[in-house]
Amino acid sequence: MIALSLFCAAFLVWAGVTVFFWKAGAWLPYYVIGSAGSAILMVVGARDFLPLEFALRASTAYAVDGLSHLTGVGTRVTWSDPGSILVVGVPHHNEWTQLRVGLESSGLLESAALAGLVAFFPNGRLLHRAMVVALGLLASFVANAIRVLLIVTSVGYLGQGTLDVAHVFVGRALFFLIACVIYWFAITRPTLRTVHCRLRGGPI
Amino acid sequence: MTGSWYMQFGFWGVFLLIPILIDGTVAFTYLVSVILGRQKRLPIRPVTRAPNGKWPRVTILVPVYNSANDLAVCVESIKRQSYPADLIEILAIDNGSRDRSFAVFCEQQQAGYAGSIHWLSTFHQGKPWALNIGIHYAIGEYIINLDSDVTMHPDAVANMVAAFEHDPNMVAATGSVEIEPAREAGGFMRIVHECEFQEYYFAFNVGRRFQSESRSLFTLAGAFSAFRREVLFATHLYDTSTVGEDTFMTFDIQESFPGRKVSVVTSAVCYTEPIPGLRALYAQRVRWQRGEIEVIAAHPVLAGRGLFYRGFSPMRTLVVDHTLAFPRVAWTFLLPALAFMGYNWITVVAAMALLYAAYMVVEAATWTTNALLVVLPSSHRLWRGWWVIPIMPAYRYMVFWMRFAGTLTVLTEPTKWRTADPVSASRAGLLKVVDRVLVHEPAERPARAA
Repeated sequence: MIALSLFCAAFLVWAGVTVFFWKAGAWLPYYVIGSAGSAILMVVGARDFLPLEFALRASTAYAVDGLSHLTGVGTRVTWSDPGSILVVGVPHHNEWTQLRVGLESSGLLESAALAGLVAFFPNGRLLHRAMVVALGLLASFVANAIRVLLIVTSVGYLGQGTLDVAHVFVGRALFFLIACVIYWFAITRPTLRTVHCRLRGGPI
Repeated sequence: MTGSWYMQFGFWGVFLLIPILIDGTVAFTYLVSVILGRQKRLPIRPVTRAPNGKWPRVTILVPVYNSANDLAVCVESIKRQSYPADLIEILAIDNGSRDRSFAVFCEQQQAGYAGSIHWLSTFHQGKPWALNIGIHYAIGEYIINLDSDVTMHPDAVANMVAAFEHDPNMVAATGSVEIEPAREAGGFMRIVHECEFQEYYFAFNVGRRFQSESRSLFTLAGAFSAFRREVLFATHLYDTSTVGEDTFMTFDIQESFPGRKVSVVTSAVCYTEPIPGLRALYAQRVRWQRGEIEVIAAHPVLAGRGLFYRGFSPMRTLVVDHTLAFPRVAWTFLLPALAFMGYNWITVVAAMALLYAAYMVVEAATWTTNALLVVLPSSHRLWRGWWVIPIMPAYRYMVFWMRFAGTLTVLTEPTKWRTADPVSASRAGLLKVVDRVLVHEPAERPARAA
């Protein structure tokens, strides 16, 4: 109860400060506090007050489980903990690796960051921004599933020794590339379109 | 999934590491190219003989707006050129000055000069208006734009014209803009000025040189650029709808003259005062960023060229300056927030320290490239300024935020040269709130009732 009260107080302070900077036309603090603050509040809310992190972990696990047959790696999601994926080691058929989809692999932080950055970016109407956020979150989820699938495939074919490299570097870099594409379509391209329309009075 | 601290750092740091890799790749590519001799030191030497037997006439356009303090020094630097004075035409074009600019100009005109020196006026306020009028009045085969707050090296015009005369394929060129030593600044601003000097030196003497080589020069500096006369008349002249008229002109030329050379002439040097304060730096960088976005948006054909297009592709610049800025913004705040989500503080702090160290390595490569290419009279200052290497990442980070503000204001504010900084805007907003809550409302209500 205390935690929830603190969370609500933090939310109110954040909302008040963001609105103040918006009204004052101080765009940099408005955007930084609006986007970063909302991302942090979303992550805290999703982890501590709503079962969203768990839902994201579970859905990632099931999505990867459903897709893994495409790469020929057998996986199984354990019923006791749907956030865990059981990977069948292909080269040695007797090697099993249990991958736990935690905060890092759930894509929660990346999704919250994307949602905050798009929602508070001062381009377009609120409804349009909400749609872009929804599509961005969907794309983020798919990107994250592809990343975890890459890790699963790597572990499946090359063994447990490749886990760290696949997880920390290859999977992360792949996710970063996909995230950049998402940012391009969610923020940069619409910005160009808006500015072009303002300058030239017509669609790009 | 990750256990060890360095794996955690690697995992979370990737969003900040990849931009470093991009910056680092560019910095080290330049460094290796210089070490391998692909770019050489080009000393500033006086050109004594006309390349084609005869020097052409040159018009120098100097837009004037409240330039009383700087105009005399600027015009005197033109008068001191080694280029034949009788072939130089100076057009000072006023665009709404309210100070003593005209009186200063008259003093310069009466001081005697073998070349011609004229004053033009326009009621339209704005540099592009002034430049466009000057272009119409210019009679030179080459037209040089010069800001009224810069001074030229005595051989700048001769070296610039010689570069054009030697290369018929060159249609436009930017000179090299360098930061003068600050006269009175001390403390923090002195550090900023040294960083600014290093930044400018790299941008003109290294960055633009490599851009020229790959036919992708992005901006002909508004402070000092030169054009063939016929080239300017083949464009739409200077655009007045954006704040990046110099970049706009560069884009127009790149679009209208594919395959021709838009280059930098590093031996044509001009000097500008360092930025007077952080507020001015903020306004300048906001203007640069919004100018870049506006100009790219105004050129959809060029903007549509892909990332891997050989030649001039603004998309590459846009991805680095705009798209990649967003993950950097997010992770600047999310990385420390990890400490509140169960991650070890030491890991988070170590991650940030390592990121800073990585940027220092990039800056060391940048400085070394500068040091390998630097020529007199700037070499002593550049070499003596090695101590800015550990400070440069912080300076660039500060500038990153200023430019990022431009990413926002391009959408939230109308096109204008000056913009309120966040501190002033917040203070004004706070005063408005205080005014409304404490002063006016209680007083207004009885008045309305009455």
